[in-house]
Formats: sequence, C-alpha cells, structure tokens
Amino acid sequence: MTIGLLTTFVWNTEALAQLFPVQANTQLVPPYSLYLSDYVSPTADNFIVNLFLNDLERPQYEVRLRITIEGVGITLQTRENFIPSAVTLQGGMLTRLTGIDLAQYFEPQNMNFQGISRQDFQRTGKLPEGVYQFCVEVLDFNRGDGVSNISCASAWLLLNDPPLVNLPEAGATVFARDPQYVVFQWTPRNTGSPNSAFGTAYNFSLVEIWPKGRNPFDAINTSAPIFEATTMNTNLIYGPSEPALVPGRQYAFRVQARDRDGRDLFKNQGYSEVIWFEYVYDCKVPLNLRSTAVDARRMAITWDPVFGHSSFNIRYKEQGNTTAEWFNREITRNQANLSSLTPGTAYEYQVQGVCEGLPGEFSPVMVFNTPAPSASDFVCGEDAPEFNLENNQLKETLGTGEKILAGDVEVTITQITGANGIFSGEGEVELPFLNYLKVRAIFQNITINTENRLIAGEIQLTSAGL
Amino acid sequence: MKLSAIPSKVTIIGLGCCFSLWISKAKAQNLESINKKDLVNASGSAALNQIYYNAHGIENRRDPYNYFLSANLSLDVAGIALPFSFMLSNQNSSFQQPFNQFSINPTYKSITAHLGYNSLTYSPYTLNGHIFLGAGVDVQPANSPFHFSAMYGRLNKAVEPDTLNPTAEPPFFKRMGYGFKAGYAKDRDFLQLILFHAEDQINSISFIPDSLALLPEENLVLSVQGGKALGSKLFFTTEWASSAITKDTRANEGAVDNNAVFSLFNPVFTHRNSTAYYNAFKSNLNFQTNFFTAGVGYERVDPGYQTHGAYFFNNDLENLTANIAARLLQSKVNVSTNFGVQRNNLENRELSEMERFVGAINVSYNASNKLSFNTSYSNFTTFTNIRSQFEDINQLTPYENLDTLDFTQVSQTATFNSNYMFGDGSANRQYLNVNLSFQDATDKRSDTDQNTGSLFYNLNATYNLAFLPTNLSFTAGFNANRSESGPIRSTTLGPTLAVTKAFPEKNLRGTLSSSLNNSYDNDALINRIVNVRLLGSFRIHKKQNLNLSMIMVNRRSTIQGSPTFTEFTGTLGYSYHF
Repeated sequence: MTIGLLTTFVWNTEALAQLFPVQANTQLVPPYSLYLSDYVSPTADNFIVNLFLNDLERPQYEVRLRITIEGVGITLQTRENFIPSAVTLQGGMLTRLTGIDLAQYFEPQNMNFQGISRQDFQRTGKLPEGVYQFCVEVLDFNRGDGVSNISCASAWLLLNDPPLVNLPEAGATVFARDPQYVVFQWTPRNTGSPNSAFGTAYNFSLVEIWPKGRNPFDAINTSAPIFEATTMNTNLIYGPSEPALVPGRQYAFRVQARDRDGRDLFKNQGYSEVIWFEYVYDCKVPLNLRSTAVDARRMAITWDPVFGHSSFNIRYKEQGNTTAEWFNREITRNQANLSSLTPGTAYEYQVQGVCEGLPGEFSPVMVFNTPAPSASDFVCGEDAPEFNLENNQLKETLGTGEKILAGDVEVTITQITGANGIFSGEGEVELPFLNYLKVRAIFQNITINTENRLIAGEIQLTSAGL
Repeated sequence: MKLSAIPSKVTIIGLGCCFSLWISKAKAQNLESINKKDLVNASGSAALNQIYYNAHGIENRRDPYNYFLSANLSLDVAGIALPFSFMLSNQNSSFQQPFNQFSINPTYKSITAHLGYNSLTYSPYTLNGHIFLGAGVDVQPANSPFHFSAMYGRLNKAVEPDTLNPTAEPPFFKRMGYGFKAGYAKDRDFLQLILFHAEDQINSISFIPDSLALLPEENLVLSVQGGKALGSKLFFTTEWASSAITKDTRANEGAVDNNAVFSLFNPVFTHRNSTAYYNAFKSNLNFQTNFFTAGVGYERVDPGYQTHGAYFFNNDLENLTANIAARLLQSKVNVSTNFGVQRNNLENRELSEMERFVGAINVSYNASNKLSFNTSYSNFTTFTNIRSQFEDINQLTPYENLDTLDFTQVSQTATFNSNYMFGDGSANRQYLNVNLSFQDATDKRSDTDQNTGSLFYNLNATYNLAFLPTNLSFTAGFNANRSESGPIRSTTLGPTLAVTKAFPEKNLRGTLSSSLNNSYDNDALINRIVNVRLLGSFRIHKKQNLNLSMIMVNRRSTIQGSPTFTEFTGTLGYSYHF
C-alpha cells in the first residue's frame, strides 16, 4: 500500500511539472535503511535515479546532481561547491544511476548538514528515525543551473529492534508436565513503525542443545531445528502435538520478526536473543533435613522425600576448608549413614532428589558437627561384635577410594586389581586407638562380598615396627 | 600385623595397646609418598546419544537420525593436567558453523592453555562466551594477586550468502579476534582491564550481498571492571566499557576522531568514516546474609553499542533493577521478588519510545513435612509511544493518525502448585499434586485489542501411589486447559496414566506413561492426541549407563487442512565414566 501511494505521489508531481531538458525520476526501494552508506554500497539498488535527456538532438550532455535528504527538522544537501565527476547523458536514452554511481554525493564531507551536525551524523553514520524525502535535481555540470524537475521519493526510515522474549526467561527451568505445555511469549519492538506495525510475522525456531551447557547461540547456529513455526501472534503455545520435549535436555529458541511487505529493516535481521531453557521434572528439594551423631566418626542423616523422588544424592564436605572436596553418595532410601568422618569437625551437607533418573536441585546447605573424640570411642579389650559373614555373593568390581571392611576395621583402597570377588592391592587403615593414625595395608587375593566385607584372605598392615 | 575376616579385632588390640613402642617410627612415615603417584592418570567420560525420528502423515519435523558423541578425557602426566574434550555429530555437514568441536586445556602449575574450540568470558560487554577456534592462555599464580589471560582465534567461519534460498541461515564473514585481560584480585576485591579486537575478512566470502545487512566490520572494545567488598555483607561491582565499531571496513579512512582513548590504539584499530564510538556502564550493589539477600543494579548501554565478543547484544537501554529474597519462619517460607524498569531511545533519535516494567514474585511455604505450596506471579508490561514532535507532521505523510500506533503489551503469568504426601511411610507412599497456571498476553493499540495476544489456563492434577518394598508406583493424572486467542477458544482435556518399576539391585528402572487428550475448538472436537512415552535406564557397574526413551505422538484430526499424523522419536543413550 505504501509503495503504491508513494509512487502515485511521485508521478503526480511530475505530471504537473513543466517540460525540462532533463526528466528525473527517483525511487526508494525497500527495505528502508537509516544508514546512508547502505544506499550507496557497491551492490545496493535501494536508491535509484533515472535520468532522461529530452533533447533528442543532443548526443552528449554532462550534468551533476544536487541531492537533498529532508526529514523533520533535518536537511542534508549536496554542497554548492562540490564538483563530482560528471554524469554523461545521451539524447533519448535513459540513464540509470544506483549505489556506486551516487556514492560521492553521500560522503559526509560533500554535504551540508542542517538540524544535525556533521560530527553527530558521522559518529554513527545513521539518520535519526522518521519520515524522509530523498530529492534529486539535475544541474548543468559547468554552469550549475537546474536543468530538471526536482524529483522526490519519500519513506519512513526505521531500524527496528528485534523482539524481546519474555517467556521462558533465559536459563529458566521449565517443568515437564504430562502432556507437555510450554508457553513462549515475546514483545515486539517494531510497534512504532508505520511500515511494519500492522504486518509483522514471527518465525519461531527451537533446537536441542547438544551437549548440555553449549552456548545457546552456538547451538542454534550449528543444529537443525526440531520445530519451526510462523505466527502473527506474540506468543506460541507448544502443546502435546508438537515434537516431544524430553526431560533432562536443554533447548534453545529464538524469534525472528519480519515485515510481511519487506519495507522495514530490523537489527540483527529481526532475530531475537537466543534463549535457552532446561526441560526438567519438577523434582523438588527434599524437606526437613536432620542429622544425629552415631559416634565421633559417623552421622545418620534423614530427610522427607517429596512427590517424584525415586532416589537421592547426598554430598558432604568439611566446612570452612577451601580445599575440601565434596563426597558424594547415592541412596534409594530417605536415610543415609556417613562414616569415616573426622571427629570434632563441622561438615556441610546437602541432599538432592532424583526423579526418573534426573537429579533435581540440592537442598540448602545444612551443617552437622561430629562429636569430639572421647576415650570411650575405643575400649581396649572390648568384645568383638558379631559380624554376619553369611553373604557369599561376591563383589564384581572395586575401585580406588572405596572402603572394605575387615571385621570392624575399615580399609580405604588406594590401588586395586582383580574382579568378581577376588582382589589384590593396597589400602590405608586409620587406627582409632592411635588417634586415627594412617597405616598402609597390602592384600593379595582376598575375597570380598557385595557388602564390601572381607570374607576370606588376609590384609597385611605394613607400617614400620610391625 | 594382619587383618582378616574375624580375628582382626583381637590381633589389633593385642598389638595396639602397646602403641608407645612404635608410634614415633610410624609417624615418620609419609604415607603420601609411599603410595607413589602413577605417572599417568586418566579419568573422564564419554556419551553417545542416538536419536531416531519417523513421521507418518506430515513431513518430518526433524532429522530422521542424529547421533551426538561427546567425550571428556583428563590425563594427568607427571603433574601436568591435560583435559581433552570433543563432540561429534552427523549434523556437522548440514550446518554452517561447525557442530563438531574439540578442545584441549592443559594445565601446568598456574598456567592453563586453551587449544581448539573454546569460549572465554572476560566480561558482559567485551568477550562474553563467544566460541572461538584458536588458542588462549590463563595465568593465575597461586600466591600472587595478579592474573592474566589472552586469546586469539576465529570467531566466525565464513559462510557464503545464499540469495536463492530465502530460508537459508544468514551469511558470515570469517571473523578473527584477539583479547587480553589483566587483573588484580585480593579476597573478594578485584580490578581488571580488558581489550578485545575483532575484524571481518572482506575476501572470505565471494560477494557481499545487499539487502542482508551484512557488512565487513571491525571492533575494538576496552573495559575496566572492578568489585569491592564493603564489610562482610555488602558487595559492589561495576564495569565501564567503550566500543569502537566500524560498520563497513571498505569505507575511507578518516581523520582520527577526537576520541582520546581510542586515538591511543591507532595502530590496532583504523578509524574510518563508518566508525562509531559507544559506551556501556553497569553497577550492582548486593547485600547478603544467610536468610536475606537484596540487590540493586543500574545499567546504561548506548544506542548502537556492540561487541563482537558476544553473540547478541541489547543496546539503547537504561535499566534499573532490584531484587529481594528472604527465608522466614525457620526456612519454612521462602520469598523472592525482582523488579525492573527499562527505557530506550536514550538519544532521542528514534521514532518511538518504549518503557518496560518487569516484576515477579515467588512464595513457597512448607506447611508441614507433608504439605507444601508454591505460588508465583510475573508481569511484563511494555508501553510504546510515538514521540509527540512527530504528531504535527502528519500532513507530510500518508498516515493520518499516528496515535493509533501507541502500543501496550501486558503479559502476566500466575502459577499455583500444591503437594500433599500421605500413606503409612514404610509400605507405601502417596502423593497428591495440583498445578494451576494462568497466562495472559494482551496487545493493545490506543486501547483497542489487537487480537494477537492470548489467554491460557492450565490445570494439572496428579495422584501417585508408590509401593516401597516392591519399587512399583502408579500415577494417574488429569489435565485440562483452555486457550483463547482472537476468536478461537480451544479446550483440551484428558487423562494420563503411568507405571514405574525399579529393580534397584539390578540398577534397572522403567516407566511407561500414556495420555489421551481431546481438543475442542469452540466446542467442536477437532483433534484427539495420544502420547505414549517409554523410558528405561540401566546402570552397569556404576560406570556405564544405558538410557532409552521412546515417544510416540498420534494426532487424529477431524477437520480439513489439519493432518492426521503419527510421530515417533526414540533416543538411545550410552555413557561411560572412567
């Protein structure tokens, strides 16, 4: 519609004009840019000047142009004393000038600025937004007299911002529901444009992020979309008949705004920021964490599970020790016993629920204090407690850092070989009666059951003196 | 001394009570050195995911087969850590920037090198997570407050413009960049200086199309960033950055602008007629205790500010934000809120002005260890106004009434979630979960609704019964939603059933779930959608995981123009940790 009106406007002016030696006709071709350099870039066809020399007798006529760009309160005009290279017209022939032919006229130093300083313009190379008329008058090259009609074309020049995504927010966790429903919603930022405000279409595209944690922009630049749609609405409801989202995966999406008639330019070609989100089960934080001391080296932790929990991960580390690393445990019950702790020490601990194999968030950090060691922790001559050695099921694999039990003594493995119940290697033992002094242990072809208990063989303690 | 299955206690006690005989010698032993460290230590993980896809009745909506292989391997060779990672996919050939990436990041003492595809983040206004192919180095001496980082590499691979295919991804110039960061950090205080430069290579693509707004650019960004702890609970951070952007490196060289800072970098960055200078500034003040956090922030980004070190940049904005979070009543109640006001058109060069308000609040309440609630509300309101000085020029234009361009968008979301747990605890557990959500977006022009918004309600109720000794659980749910968009009012209703069985001793679990939903448009049945999901996971020896997911979507449509289709997506995932 706009193009139609503008063209009519141009032709009307010219129809009324008297007959000049040169007939000029100007066209602005969408999209309409605010950057003057876009109109004269070597390949551009956005600003076209057609010149026709009416005097058919004249084989050659050298002319130059006066170009005026006029907006509200702003005028840029070819400087009077600027002498460009000549345009040569031939009688009865149409001369078409585009981009590179006009480049010299658009150099800031060849123009007079009114309403905006040249420095201000040069800082960005960009005109303020608004409605502009681009007018051309042909001058005799030598005399500088006007020899043509003044031909103008006008347009709203705008550079629209791409849409702003509201939902989901960047980095959000979106909870999986059965069936799936995810609402995507955005704010258009071209609503002040007379060109495109009423005819904006949005292209939506969604990709899976592989592997998790990849930069979402990189993911969208390198992956095929799993879903694409075009809508006139400012939202999109992603329902059960759209490609299934899989809990545990990350997704990235973006929205591209497009003027259906192609008149408006958008920054970043209309592409919004790429927003990523993680699609997860609503795996809530376990509630009501509490701890009780079993003895100076062991603590019992319990908590209340919430809907969806199938198992739990517990982690704990010494509080205030910056080099301490988290110890991790996995457990299916809502209770865990932590052993091999240092007596008289504060520990931080957290529990996370696991839903359908995917962990949720960790609970807030809680603290327990192991009791100080006391003489009663170790009593010489105390009767050995009963050990149940009936479990003959053999342990398939063991790794370093795991603990095996020989009677009531715990050996932490530092080197291990073997499999299917029979193992050789080295370990460390802490002796409670020696203030938890560490002693090296060596074992060859010992038999370990699924409870990590030594059921056959010997472990040699090799500290000096023994 | 020996340890064996039963007599251990006796043996140890027998010797142990006489500890004074040997304790001094034992202490002289350094157990760390006895366990000689292996010369080469390897650890890491590898994962292969394969996705199969098949559709009947519609065109494929995604590739029929994709595999994604990723691996991380960390080698420790005589004290030098050599983490190596890569990812591979058959998508690599079909897309323009390379999907397949690898990196190796050796560390020796305080020096870490980054080789291959990596991303580094110096600050939000400079190098901010852009992936590059090249080399980088971080130097962070353990006992020195100074640190240093540098990078050089390819930010974008050249992509030829494809003017014949309108849906083609945008073309790229090959873009090379380098950056430096030098900083000082002590406790929580820090100060750092950043320089980042990137330039497009004009000859990297065969021609430069117009109409795609693709021009060869050059960018130099300088930034100062600092943070200071004010006491133990207050923390202040700030960044000021200045960016010089040449929009078209083919433009003539110009006299150096009277920009004092950038004139110092003249050999690095060429000032041209198409060069522009912009600033960005951000400050945050945060207060934190165990039960209460609060923060305020201010940000101002000049219109046109850009950095080639980020994939995307929102500019022309002034932003004021505040957030508060608190834990109350022995952490039974958690409240968090945030607010923001944003405006654009900082230089009055735009035709319209946008103001935006963002607000959100979330409250969760654990009434007891059986009952909990969570509710949230968020609001995004945007006003766009045509600037008044343009109103008296209406006669210049074919547009009669610019008032009709005033635009308001309000987007609101509210959710409510409640959980109730009951059952006898040891034999079975039962849960009841209710979710309600409401989402409303309205687009208005001079108070006239544009019918481009929507109203969406969703109710989802789930009952779950878990038999603990047998690790078997059943879920029954009901879902209802209604959406109104323009003249269309659609309703979708249906049940969901699921069963889960786990074999913890075999590390095996599986879930089968199915939902059936009927969709009605203005009360007429239009679609019947069946979703079936089968999920399985199997863990072998703690080190290997096998995951299977099979999802089937079937839509039977009763209206013309909307196809009936069946779609199948299967994922087989395998991962190995060593």
